[in-house]
Amino acid sequence: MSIKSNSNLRESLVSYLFLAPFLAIFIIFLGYPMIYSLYLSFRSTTFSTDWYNIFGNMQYVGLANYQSLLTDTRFWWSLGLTLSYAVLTIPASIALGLWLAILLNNKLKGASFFRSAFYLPNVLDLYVVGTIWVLILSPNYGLLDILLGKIGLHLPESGLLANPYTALPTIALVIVLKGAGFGMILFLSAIQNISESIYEAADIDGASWWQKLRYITLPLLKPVILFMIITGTMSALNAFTEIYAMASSKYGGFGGPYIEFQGQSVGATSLSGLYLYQLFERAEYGKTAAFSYLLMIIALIISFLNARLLKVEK
Amino acid sequence: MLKKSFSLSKRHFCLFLVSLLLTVAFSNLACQTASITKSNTLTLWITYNPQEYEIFKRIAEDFQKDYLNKTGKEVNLNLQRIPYDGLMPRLKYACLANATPDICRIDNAWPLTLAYGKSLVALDNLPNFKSTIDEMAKEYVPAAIESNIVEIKTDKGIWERHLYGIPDQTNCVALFWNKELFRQSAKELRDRGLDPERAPKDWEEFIKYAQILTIKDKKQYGFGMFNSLWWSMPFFNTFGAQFVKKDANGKYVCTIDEPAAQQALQFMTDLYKKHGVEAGAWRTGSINPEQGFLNGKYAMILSGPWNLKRFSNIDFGVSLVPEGPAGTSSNVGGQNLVIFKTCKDPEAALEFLRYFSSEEVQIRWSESLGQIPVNIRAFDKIDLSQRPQLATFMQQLKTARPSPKIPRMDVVEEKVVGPALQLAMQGDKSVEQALKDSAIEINRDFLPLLNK
Repeated sequence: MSIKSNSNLRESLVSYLFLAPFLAIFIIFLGYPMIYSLYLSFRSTTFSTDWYNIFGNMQYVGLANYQSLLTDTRFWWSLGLTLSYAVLTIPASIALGLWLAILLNNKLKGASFFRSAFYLPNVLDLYVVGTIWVLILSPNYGLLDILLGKIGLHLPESGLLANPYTALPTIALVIVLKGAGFGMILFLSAIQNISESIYEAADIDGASWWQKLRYITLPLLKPVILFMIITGTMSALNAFTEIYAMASSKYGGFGGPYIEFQGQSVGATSLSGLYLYQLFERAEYGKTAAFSYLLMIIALIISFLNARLLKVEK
Repeated sequence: MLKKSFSLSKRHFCLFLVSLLLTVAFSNLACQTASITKSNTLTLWITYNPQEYEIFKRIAEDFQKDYLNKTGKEVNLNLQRIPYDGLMPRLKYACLANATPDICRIDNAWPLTLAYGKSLVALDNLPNFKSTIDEMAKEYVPAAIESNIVEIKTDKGIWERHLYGIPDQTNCVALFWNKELFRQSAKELRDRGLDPERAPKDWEEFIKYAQILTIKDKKQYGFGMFNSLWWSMPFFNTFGAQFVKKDANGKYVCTIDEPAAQQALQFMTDLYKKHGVEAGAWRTGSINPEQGFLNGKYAMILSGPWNLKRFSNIDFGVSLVPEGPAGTSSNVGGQNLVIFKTCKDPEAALEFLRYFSSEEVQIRWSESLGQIPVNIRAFDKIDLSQRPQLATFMQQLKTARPSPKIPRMDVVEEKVVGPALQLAMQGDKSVEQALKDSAIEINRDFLPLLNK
């Protein structure tokens, strides 16, 4: 063996040694649980499973968990609802973030104050924000109803969060408002990185404000938009806290007001993340693992499609 | 250079090894210390409020002395306060990690689930039980002990009846009424022949009172209610509805769709939809009944003795749940003390459970905290002259009926009955259809677990 290849081997060994702590943590806390949850997705608990040996006591059921989910109305409902939630939140978050960024990119007085102010809700805990909004939106006694009352208007008697048709859009609106600051910061930094000379060239060509936005700003912001779509999709698939805070009652109504869907009672805000939590809380670990894998497949497909559709040209 | 970096790595590696060895040595020492402490220690997970905890701590100290005097053995009670919210999932994870407490204070709806999960000690199997289940049950308030007796199928397929816990606290709901709001509408009440100095006695009268006490301009409602199954039980029970019955073949059948249950749910729905006297407090995002009562917005609510102190700034009364066709009745709530399978000294743990629920301790507990005793002899000996409201709850408890004992009752409530009740109350499903659908689902998915 030559001296050169010997030193290469040593260098590789040193590199692996430095990588070892991360790899060990990754394998123990991420790799192993992922593989183990795949194994669990083929097994099931019963109502008399020994809790002290729950995983050992689970019975092999083959693909029954997947089959049961794929034929479960509540599963499809939760997925459909998650899709609706994504459609409600992602474009609105992008549009609002972009709009704020464009506004604050101008030389406004107090621009830095507004930047901080718009970003501030993003720092607050989602559960806290949700609880505050529940109080604001409360029918009869909430701040919004009181303010509307001053101009002779009132919220519907049932309230926005208790109405199956307004509950999800209301939560989506809250999330868009809360997250607008995050999008604004991303867009603002991307906009400020666009060279002034491009706009100057467009000015010379006589481009209007809209044309500059349409043909310069937006195409150059594609990576940020793609990032926001992918993170927005993940957030929608994992959405839980906002629903838990705003549309769940300790004494019933977990997952929002109920609605009839294909003969089943389903929560009007029972998104996939919430349904997953419910399965986990009921100790249906096999079904929960199967659900997680189905969600992972969906997330991968969506991310792949997004990346293809918004492919950033070099 | 390479050599240098290697020597550096070696030094770091040696340091790493030394720290690893030290960590292992210390953790081993810690484990040994823990095991020494654990040998005569019973760990209790308790969910008491600070006031209850202080008294419980003193009772626990007295037990330690008493146990030493009686048996000559030392036992230490290690009390750990745990938040009630999220306790059930926490117990599940503790079971998974083999880290359950020796004794735990749990909701009275849980012994069945935990017993089916093979995580509890059957108290009647312990050598120092020295009684029969039925004999022991006679020592306690029937509604309180009932939830601890569970029929369970053994690995050999035989059904056996066991006692899995001892009641720690028992309660039920009764009608809370805001005397101030009643006084404010005294003239209107008298005009309709109603007495503003007392609460309604039956549901018919209740509607009349609630109609007058509902003043929408003031955003005031006659009544505010929760609508989960447990909170709806007073309605179902006063209408004589039964959740589950045994048929001629001895099999369990869900009867929640029978006429009495339909009448009860129709009545609940009418309070909101037809009479407009219920605030819709059960809806997501609404002011809940307790908060509404506290704010003087709901004139009447159903609530339990746990709120007596919270409402102490309001001039309020407590009366029996208004009578329906089956008279007055209520639900049964409360807590039980159970012993987990990992308990190293279950006999000492049972001694503590019996000590805590003894007549003498229960009188002390109840009189200090204003709570309902679980011991039947203490029940009759409590001085209620200073606590008329507690007397009402104790009277109510005599006609209260516990929730049905069905495996996975939490799922039944959350997935089947809860949504059905809400759909009916929202007007999205007829009462009859909502209950019929629930009965079909329960008979199909849950009762076969009992009937097999």
